[in-house]
Amino acid sequence: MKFQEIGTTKVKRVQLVDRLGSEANLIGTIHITTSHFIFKAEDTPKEIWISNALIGSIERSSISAAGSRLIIKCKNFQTITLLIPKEKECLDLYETLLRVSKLYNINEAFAFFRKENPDKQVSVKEASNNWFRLNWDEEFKRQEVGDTWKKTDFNAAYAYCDTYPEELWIPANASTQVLIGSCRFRSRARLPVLTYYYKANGAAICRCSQPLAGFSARCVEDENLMELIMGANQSASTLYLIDTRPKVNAMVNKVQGKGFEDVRNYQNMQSHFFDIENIHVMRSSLNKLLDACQKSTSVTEYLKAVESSGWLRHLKILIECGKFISDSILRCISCVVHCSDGWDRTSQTVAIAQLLLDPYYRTIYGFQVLLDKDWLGFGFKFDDRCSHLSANEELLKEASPIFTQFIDVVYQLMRQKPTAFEFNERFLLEINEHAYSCMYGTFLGNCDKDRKDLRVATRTHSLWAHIDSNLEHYKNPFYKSTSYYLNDIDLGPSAFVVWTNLYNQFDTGIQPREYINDVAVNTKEHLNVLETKLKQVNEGKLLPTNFSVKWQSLLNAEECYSRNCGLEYTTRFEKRLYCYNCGKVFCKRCIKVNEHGSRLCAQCLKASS
Amino acid sequence: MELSEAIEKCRVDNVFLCEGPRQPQKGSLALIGHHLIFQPDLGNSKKASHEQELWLLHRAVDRVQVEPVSKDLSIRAGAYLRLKCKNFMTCTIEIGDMEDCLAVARSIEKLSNLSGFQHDYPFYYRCPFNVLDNGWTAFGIDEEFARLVILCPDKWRISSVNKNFEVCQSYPELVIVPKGIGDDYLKISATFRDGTKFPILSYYHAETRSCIVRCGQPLIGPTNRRCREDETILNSLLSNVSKGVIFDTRPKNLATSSKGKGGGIESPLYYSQWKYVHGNLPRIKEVHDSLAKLVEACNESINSSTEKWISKLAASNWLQYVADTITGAATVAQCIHCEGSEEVPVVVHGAEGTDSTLLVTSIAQLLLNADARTVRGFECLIEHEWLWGGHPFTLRCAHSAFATGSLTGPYESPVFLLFLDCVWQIMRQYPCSFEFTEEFLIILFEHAYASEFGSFLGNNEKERKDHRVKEHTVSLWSYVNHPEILPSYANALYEPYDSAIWPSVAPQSIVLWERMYLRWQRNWKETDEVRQTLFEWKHREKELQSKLSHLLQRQKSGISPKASPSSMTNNDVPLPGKNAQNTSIANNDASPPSMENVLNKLKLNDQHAQ
Repeated sequence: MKFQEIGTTKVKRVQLVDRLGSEANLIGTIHITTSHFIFKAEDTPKEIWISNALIGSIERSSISAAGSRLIIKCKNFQTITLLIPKEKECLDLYETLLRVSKLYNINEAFAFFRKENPDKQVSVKEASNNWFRLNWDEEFKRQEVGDTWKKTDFNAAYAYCDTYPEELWIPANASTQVLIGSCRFRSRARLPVLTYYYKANGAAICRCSQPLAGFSARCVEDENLMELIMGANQSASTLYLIDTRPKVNAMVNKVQGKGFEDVRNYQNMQSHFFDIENIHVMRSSLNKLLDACQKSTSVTEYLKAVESSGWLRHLKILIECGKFISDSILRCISCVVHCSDGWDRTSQTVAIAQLLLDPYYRTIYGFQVLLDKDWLGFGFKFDDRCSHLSANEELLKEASPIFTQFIDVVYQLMRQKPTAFEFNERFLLEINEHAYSCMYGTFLGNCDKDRKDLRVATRTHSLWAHIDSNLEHYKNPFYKSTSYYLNDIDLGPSAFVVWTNLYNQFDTGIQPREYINDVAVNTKEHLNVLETKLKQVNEGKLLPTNFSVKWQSLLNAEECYSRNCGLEYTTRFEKRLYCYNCGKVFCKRCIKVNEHGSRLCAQCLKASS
Repeated sequence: MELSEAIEKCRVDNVFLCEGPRQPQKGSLALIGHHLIFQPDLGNSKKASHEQELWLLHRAVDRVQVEPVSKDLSIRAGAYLRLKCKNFMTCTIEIGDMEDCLAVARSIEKLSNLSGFQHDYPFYYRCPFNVLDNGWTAFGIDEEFARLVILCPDKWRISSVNKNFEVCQSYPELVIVPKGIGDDYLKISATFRDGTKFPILSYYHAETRSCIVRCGQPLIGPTNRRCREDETILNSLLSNVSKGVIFDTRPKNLATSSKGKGGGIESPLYYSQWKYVHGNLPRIKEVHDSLAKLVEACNESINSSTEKWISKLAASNWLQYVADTITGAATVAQCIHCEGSEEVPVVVHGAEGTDSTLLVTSIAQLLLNADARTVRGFECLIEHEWLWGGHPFTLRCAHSAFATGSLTGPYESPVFLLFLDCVWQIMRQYPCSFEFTEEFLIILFEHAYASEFGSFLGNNEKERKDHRVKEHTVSLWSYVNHPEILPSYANALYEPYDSAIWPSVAPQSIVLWERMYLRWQRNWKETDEVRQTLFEWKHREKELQSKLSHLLQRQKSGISPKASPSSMTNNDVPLPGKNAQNTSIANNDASPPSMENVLNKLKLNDQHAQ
C-alpha cells in the first residue's frame, strides 16, 4: 500500500487504557504508516510498535462521555484498548486500520518493502546464500540415509505435486510408475516420502496425505510403495500406518472417496489412529483458552474455563502421538504418518517425534532446519493458517493456530527438560510472532512453490538471519549438548500448563518480576566480563574509573537507563542489555558493541576512547 | 502408659518396601517408641548403614491402611501396609502375614495419635550437633518487643498484664499495647473479645507510622453489647488521624451472622471513625477439606484425564483460597503503605484471631517489610505472628490431607501450610527478593506436622511454658541456622530489595506449588541440577565482584591495582604504553597525586626525552 492511500495517519491526544486497570491511562499520539501502527506517549518515553500484519481484529465499542473505545486485538495475543475523545477521529482511525491491516495480495506484504536490513549491512544477494536453513541433500546426508533410499527428481518443476518440494527421497527400488500411481491415489498427490531416517537401526518416518480409498478403492502402486518403504527397513517385519485423526473422522472421509488404508490390502502393516482434532476444533479451543486468559476474574473461573477449552488435552494428545511414532522408530518399526491432506497434524506429529528422537533438532540451527523441512518444505499453509491475507468467509475457515500449537508443545517439552534444548522461551515467542508478522519472507506463501514464485530469497529478509545476528538472546544458559532420546516425557495431566508467557505475554503485571532464564544469562555474561577484567588487572591494566562491579538488578529494570532515551520495555521478554562498564540496562539503540566485543553505553564508550 | 505398651508387634522380617522414599526392596520392619524403621536386606553378611535405613516418625503418619494383596481371602497372600504421611508421601510395605500387618497397623495408629506432651519425641531427642546459635534464645520476646517499641516509644508500651497468662491463654506474657491505655482497660476489653484476645500491636511500619493491630472478634452477640473500654483502646490509635480501618477476614454475611452465636462486627455507631473492610479468607474447615481434595487430585493425576485433573484442581478451591488470602493481606498492606496520605491504623480480626487473622498480618508484613524476607526475619515473623500469636499448632497439625471425614475433628486445618503456599507464590513472582529457597518452606511445613524439634509443640506459649519445652527440647532454629545447614536453604539469587513488593493475584499468577504437592510423584533431579548450576554461577559472580571491588578501591586510593604479589613478579616492569594510560586515567579521576603517579610521570618524561 502506498503512503497516500492510508488515509488518517496521525491522531493526537489518544488515551491508552490499561487493561488490568492497575495503572492510569497514558495519553499519546497514534501514527499509522504503511507497515506499522505506532503509539507514542506524550509525557513518558513509552512507544508501542505493531506490525500492521499482526492486527487481527478491530472493534469499536459504545461511546461514553470520555470518548469512543477502539479495541485492537493482535495475532500475537496483544490487546490494545484506545480511548479517543472525538467520535469522528475514532471512526477515521478505525477505517484506516481496517485498510492498512488488510492484504489482498501476498506480494504486498511488508517483507517485500523492507529495503534496509534491520540487523546488519549485507546485500540481499549475499544474504540469500544463507536464506534457507535447509539444504535437502545436506540434511539427508546428515541423517546418514542408507542406500535403501534414493533421491528422485520426479517432482521437478512441481510436475506432480505442487505442495511438495522438488526434491524427494523415496525407497531405492521404487519405480517412477509406482510413484505416479501412488500420487493418483493420494489426496492432492501427496505420496508417501521420506522425512526422517534413524541411522541407528534404519527405521524411517515417512509422511503423506490420506488415500483416496473410499469404501473399496485400492491402488496396487500405492500398496507397492508402502511395501518398499517397509522393505527399506531391512530388520523390520511390519510398518505402522499412522492416521492422526480420530477414527470417526477418518470414516466420514470415506464417504467423500477418501479415508484410510484398508490393512487387508497392505499386508503385514498395522494401522493406528490418534484422537487429534481438526483445525476447526483447534481454532475454537484456542479462542476459548484466550477468553479464559483475558476475561477470568477468579482462579476458579479461570481453571474451569481452561478445562472447558480442552487446549491442554490437545497438547497432550499431540505429544502422545509424537511419542508413539518415536517409540516405534526406536523399536525399529518405520512409520508412515498422515492426516487428511498431510500438512497440519502430520507436520505437528512428525516434527514432535523428531524433536524427541534427534538432539540435533533441539539446537537452534537444527530447529530451524526442522521448521524448514517439515513445516515449510512439506507445504504447511502459512498464508492460510496464519491468515496473512485478508479474510473473506472462505479464507476465515482456513485460519487455525496449528503452528502456535506446535510451538506450545515445544514449550511444554522444554519445561520438562530444562537442559535438553539449546534455545529458550524467547526464541519460541519470536518465531511464533513472526509466523504472523509478515516482516520476513520466511513464513510467507503456502508452500515451497509459492516461495519460489514470490522469489522470497532475493526479495525479502530471512527470519533466520535476524535470529543469527542476535543469537545469544535465544540461548538457553542451561543447555547441555547430549545425544539422548527424550524417552521419559511425563504425559500425566499435571505436566501440562497454560503458557501464560505466550497468551498473556503483554500483561506484564501478572508475570514473575524476574525471568530466571535471563537472570542466568546475565550472570553468565557478567561472569565473563568480571573474569576478563580481572585478567586485565593482573596484566597491569587499570580498571575504568566508572567501572561498576555490580550490575543493575532485573527487578524494575523496565526502561533504558539512558537519559536521552528512557524507552520502556513492552514485555518482560525483551532482552535487557547491560553496559559492561557501568552495569546499567540499556535498550538496543543505546548500546554499542566495541571492537573487543564489549557492550558499552554511549557515555562509557565516549569515556573509553 | 509406656510407649512400648502400644507396640503389639515390634519386628517383622521378610517384608517388601513397594513404594516410598527408597528403592523398592526387601528388608525387615521394626517398631520402636517413636519410629518405624525399615532395614533393607543387603545379602548375608552386610548390615545396612544408617543412611540406607528408613526411619519414619509415627507422628508423621496421617493415616494407616491395610489392604489384602489378593481379593480372594482364602489365599494367604499377606497384605499391604499403606502409610499415608502428613507430608503427602505414601509408603507401602508388603507384609507376608495378614495378622502381622494388622498388628503393625494398629500399633502405628495408636502411636501416631497419642495426645499429651509427655511422650512427644522432641523430649527424647538427643541433639547430635553442637548448638552454636540457640534458637530458643535467638528471638527473645523482650528484645523483639523492645526493638519494636523503640520505633515509636510515644505511642506504644510493653504491658505485662498477661503475666502467668491470666488474661489470655493464647497470648504471650508480654504484649505491646497503645501507650495511654492502662492494664485495667485491657482486662475489660478482653471480656469483650473472642478468645479474650484484646487488641495488641502486630506490626509497626516506621516509614508511614501506620500499624497493624490484631485481636479477636467483638462479642456483640444478639443483644448488641458494647464495651466503652474497647472503644477507647481502638480510638486511642486515632490520636493523630481521623480514620482507621478494621479489616475483618470474614466475608460480610458470615461476619454478620456470627452475631447470633455471640460474635459479630464492631458497630458503626460506637466505632464511627473506623472504616470496615471485609476479606474473603476461608474458614479453617474449608481449608482442611480443600487440601484433602487437592492432594487427592494430585495423587490421582497420573491416571486421570486432563479435564478431570483441572476440574478437580478447580473444585478443591485451594488456589482460590491462596489468591483470596494474598488479596486480603495485600489490602491491609496497601492501607499501611498509604504513600503520601496520613497514617492509617489497621485492626485485623476474624473470629478467634488465631488463624485467618495471622495469615493476613504475617503476609502483609512479608509484603511491606524487606527484613521479613531474610532467613532471620522470616523466622522472627513466624515466632512473632504464629507462635506468640497463639496459632494452635498441635490441634491444627494433628492430621493432614489424608485424614478426612470421621477421622478428624473440627480443629485440624492446614492453615500454616496455606501461609507457606502464599509465601511461595510471592517468592515465585519475586524470585530474587527472598533470602531463602522453597526447600526452607518445605522443611518448616514438615516440622510443623512431625518433628524431632520442639518449636511447633503445643498450642500456645502457655502450653510451651507449662511443659518446659524450651528447657527440654531443641529448637528447629538451632538446626536450620547452623552454619553447616543454613547454606542449603539459602537462595543464591537473593538481592536485598528494600521496598514493599506487590504480587499479582490475577488467576494466571496463582499456580500449583508443584514441589510441595507433586513432590513424591515427580523426578526433580534435572530441576535441581539446573538450580545448582545457577547458584554456582551466582557464587562465583559474588566472589569475583568482591575481588574486583577491592581492587577498584585500591586503585581509587592510588595504590597499584595489581591483584596480588604473585602477579607483581610476573610483570615486574610495567610497559610504557600502559603507564601513559595509567596517568591519564588518574588525571581524569582527579585523584590526589600518589607517589606512584608522580614516578610514572617522571618515567614518561624520560622516554620523551630519549
